[in-house]
Amino acid sequence: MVFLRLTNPNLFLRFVDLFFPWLAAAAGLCLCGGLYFSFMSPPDYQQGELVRIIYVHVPMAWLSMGCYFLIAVSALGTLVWRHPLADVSIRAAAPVGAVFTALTLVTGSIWALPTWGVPWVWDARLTSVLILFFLYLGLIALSHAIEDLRRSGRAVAILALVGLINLPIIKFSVNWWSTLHQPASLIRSGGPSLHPDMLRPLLMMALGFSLVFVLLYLMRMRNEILYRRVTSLRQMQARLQASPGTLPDVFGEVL
Amino acid sequence: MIGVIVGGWEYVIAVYVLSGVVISGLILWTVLDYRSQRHALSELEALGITRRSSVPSAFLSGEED
Amino acid sequence: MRTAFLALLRRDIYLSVRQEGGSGVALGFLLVVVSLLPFGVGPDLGLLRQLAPGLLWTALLLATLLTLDRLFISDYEDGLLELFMTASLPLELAVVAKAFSHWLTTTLPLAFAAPLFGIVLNLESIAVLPLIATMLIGGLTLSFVGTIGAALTLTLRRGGLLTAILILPFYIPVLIFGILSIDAALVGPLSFGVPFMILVSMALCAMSLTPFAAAAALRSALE
Repeated sequence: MVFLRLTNPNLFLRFVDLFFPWLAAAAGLCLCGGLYFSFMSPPDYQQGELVRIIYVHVPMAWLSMGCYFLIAVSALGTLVWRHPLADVSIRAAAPVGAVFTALTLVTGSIWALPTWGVPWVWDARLTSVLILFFLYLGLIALSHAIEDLRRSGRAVAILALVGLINLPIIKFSVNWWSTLHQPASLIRSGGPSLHPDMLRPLLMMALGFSLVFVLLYLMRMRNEILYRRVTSLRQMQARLQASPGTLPDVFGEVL
Repeated sequence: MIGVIVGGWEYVIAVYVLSGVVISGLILWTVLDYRSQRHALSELEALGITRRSSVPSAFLSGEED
Repeated sequence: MRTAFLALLRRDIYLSVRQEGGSGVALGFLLVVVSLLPFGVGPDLGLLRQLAPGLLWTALLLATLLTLDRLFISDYEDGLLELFMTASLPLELAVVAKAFSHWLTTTLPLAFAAPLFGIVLNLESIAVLPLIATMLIGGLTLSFVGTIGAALTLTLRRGGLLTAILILPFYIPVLIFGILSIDAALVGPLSFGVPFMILVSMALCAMSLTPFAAAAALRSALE
């Protein structure tokens, strides 16, 4: 119920202002702890020091997928309930998701360079993350291409939902494709469960990066709300100047 | 089979520095964007243009600067 | 409803054949790609034979992307799309008609021309039938999924490139299973039917689901 009330933009803004310092502090604390554990943990018996890359890479990968689900849920909010904040949420989350996905790809290839000797392998996982990145690019490009905010929100939501339905298909087909094409896969995923020494920095970093993500997301949502207000106020100003004396009917145009 | 990899600190450092720079860049950009939106909003308010209920009477009666 | 559907289909096919936009562009594109490839990779027939199915399939995909943005644009400019919304034909069915006509005028000629172009690429003769079959079925998915991209970018001035970016991720599975089916027919280890059935199921899913998404996108664009 409390969360339902937060869907009012004004209350949302106040909520962000209130929790902002706490979130920032928690994120900073977790990341510092994660960094400490990450550099204190012993090197892996196979990967050596390179295992420390995993502590950044894996949280990024988790978050880039989690972000897509967040966008898809918001897309439902736009299409089903036509809630303006859902719209704002997609616009706020997409660029952050794209950056996190790009970081997943780049940190992965930095890890791959010494491990496999090449920065890029057309392996199933890498390929599906790359396609996820394309999906993000599509969302961002579409949301910038359509000027009318309401229409662009609807279009982006449709694309996001179609993408969500397609993600499992893409994953499945890319898996199939790489197992048939790859001569003896380089990567054995899974393996034995993680040693606590590795689990601790991984979870710490994951928590830290998740908080950073939430922080960025909330900040961008706040920016987007303000941006919409500025835009509608400017429209109001323009109309007032064009025909002074008439009460403009632009109130609450987008938010 | 992957052999044991010795060293590789340069790659580790590269990953941490790169991630740090990119994410702090994103945060910085977001903060700057926030400032500019706030600035624009207060500028509009200084002109007497505010939201919803608080439409200035000057505009209603048609006098304008 | 059926007469309206058929009339729309007939009109679209007629227009795209007459305006030398759809089929002509697609075939010309295939010709360009096929004749440039040997200059790019060298005239080695063994290599060309290996590349041929993948190249022809990629060409089909690109040709589809190239012709997609014309799908709704002329009807939008004429104001015909807005008429559809008030007409007896549901917008979803109009989308189906559009997708079918796109398939008939782009994929169909390409699928039958591809083996001919394959001759100069030294395409194996046992690959011909799988190539035609996968292109025909996969092309259905391409056309139907493409309607979503075309509908989303309808009102944009230069929507062509954007449509390609939006649609690219959704085309990758189709390409993968198209090529896998041909590979299976040529070298195994799977039998041709296994990946081909997946291709068919993708086409069925696309045909039943995408019209709703595309129609929703059209409605929001026309609002």
